[in-house]
Amino acid sequence: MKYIGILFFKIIPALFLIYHSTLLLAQVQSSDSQCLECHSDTSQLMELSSQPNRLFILPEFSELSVHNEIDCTGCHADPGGYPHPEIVGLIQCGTCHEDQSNEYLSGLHGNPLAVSMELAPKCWDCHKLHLMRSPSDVGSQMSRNNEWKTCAKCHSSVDNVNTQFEKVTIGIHSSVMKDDPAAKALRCSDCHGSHQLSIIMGEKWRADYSSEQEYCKVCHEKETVQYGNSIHFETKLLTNKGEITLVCSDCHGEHEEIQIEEKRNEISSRLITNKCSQCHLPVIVDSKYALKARGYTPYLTSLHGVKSLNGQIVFTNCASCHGIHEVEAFMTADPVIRVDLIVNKCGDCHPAVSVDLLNSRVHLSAMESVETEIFYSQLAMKMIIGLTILLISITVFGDIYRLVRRKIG
Amino acid sequence: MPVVVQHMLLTLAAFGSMFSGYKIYSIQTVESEIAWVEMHIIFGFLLLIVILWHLLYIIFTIYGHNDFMQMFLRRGDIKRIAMLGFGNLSKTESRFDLQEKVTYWIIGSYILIMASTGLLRFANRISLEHLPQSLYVILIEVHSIYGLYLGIILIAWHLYSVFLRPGHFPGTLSWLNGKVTEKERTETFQQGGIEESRDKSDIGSDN
Repeated sequence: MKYIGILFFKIIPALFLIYHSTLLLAQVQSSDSQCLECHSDTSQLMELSSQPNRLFILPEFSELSVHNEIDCTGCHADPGGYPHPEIVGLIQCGTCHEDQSNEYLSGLHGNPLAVSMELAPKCWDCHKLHLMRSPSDVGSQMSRNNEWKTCAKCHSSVDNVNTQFEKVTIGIHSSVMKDDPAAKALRCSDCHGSHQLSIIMGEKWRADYSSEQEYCKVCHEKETVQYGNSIHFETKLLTNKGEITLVCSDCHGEHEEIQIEEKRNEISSRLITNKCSQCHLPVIVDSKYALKARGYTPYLTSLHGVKSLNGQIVFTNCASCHGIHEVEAFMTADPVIRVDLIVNKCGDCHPAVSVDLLNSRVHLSAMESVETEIFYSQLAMKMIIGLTILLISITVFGDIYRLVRRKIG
Repeated sequence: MPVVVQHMLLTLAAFGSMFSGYKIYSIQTVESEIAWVEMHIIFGFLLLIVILWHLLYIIFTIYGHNDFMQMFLRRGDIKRIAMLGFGNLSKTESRFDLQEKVTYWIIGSYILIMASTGLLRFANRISLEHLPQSLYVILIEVHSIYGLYLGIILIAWHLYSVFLRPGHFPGTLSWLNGKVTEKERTETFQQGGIEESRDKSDIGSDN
């Protein structure tokens, strides 16, 4: 009785299950094979359809696609026999991928669907229609190292957006792959989100620019913490867009991500000075925020600035004194402490530096400008020199006059 | 002889300060084999010592005191100034003529200004504690390249009045050996004043 029970309640149901599973799989494969007979044959497609490319399916589909275990009719409505109806039915990815579909429809890419089917990028524009590989597959167009190229298919062809693509290609986050193809590049979706496209750099970023550093902090914690304590981050700047605080991309760029300091060459030395000058020159109005800068002028005309811009890369740039992310401004209420801070910093390179440096032209801010005093004292000295030369000339001519009179007389 | 040493030291301090000052101004790199700033400070202190010596010489020696008194302008000097040096007035009653007096006072003032502004700059921290920044900047600007230009001009004037002036060419060597030739003594005597000053100043003087 024991064995009869095992036979009827365990072995027979198991065999029954195996049989039906095999039968089902055979049907799917059979169904896909039936479709692919035509849809993988370009010559036949060209005979039967005016759009052979659109209807063509790579034969490798059944091996490489993550959907290879799904019957064609799992996505497409059953077309019945041939000839198929004109419209087979819209593919509904959201049937299985509900969360992603909802995110997509609420994001920047999905929103245009409400207006026009033609304007909106569809799921298959990014993921491919049939040969849909896993993102972990290096051949996938949504893999870490290929994603930016996929985005660039659209974002390099639209007016005013193509420059973003070019910037991405030179940016440090994608250009690391040029040296090492195995290196993991930062994906577009890491910042912009994958389906909703507004989670990090979208709506939240627009509402609060400072949120940008929260994201950068994931990989660049040390730099972000330093920056978070700096005057650049703490100071709110009044612009025509309201009060803003400077964020990482204001210096590093949004897509080109120029790595200013790590490339210690002539270009980067100039770059960092030029970058700072975009705001720290009095006559330049920053185009991004319509922000009129406070007006620190002297660096470029100073000995340090001239040497730096002339390509003497060992010479100082803005970061040499002010740091990179910490942006030390030497702004304290106590002038004595402030003087000590500056003199100590100068002492890094000039061990014998004195407090005189603060009154030199190496660096004077507009608030501390003594240009007027310098101008008038130089003018006075020039006048004294002129008067002295006049006096000497008179005495010399007087001597010559008396000499001539003595000779004549 | 102390006057000659005094003059030698003054010359050394002046030329040393001016040259090292020019090197500080013109140097374009942080690294320099010669510590021009330190040299400038040393020459500056030498200048201060010479000034102090000269001050003590004027105050505490009859010769120095009389010479100093001879440097003041007299009535005849005022007339010469009014005629811009072109007048045909009688010889001066002082040991020094107008041009010598003017150069002495101008060069003396210049040296005092440069030494004091240099001292302020040397003690910059103390100076900034007690002086307004604007005044400090003005004083420092005086002690700069324009101060150097003025110094070069004044030295050129001094050399002219000693060596090249009509009646003085090719100049005296008294600045070197401390001795006055008979001809120079006679010429100076003709200008008046030397007898008077010599009578009063021989005591305690090696010159």
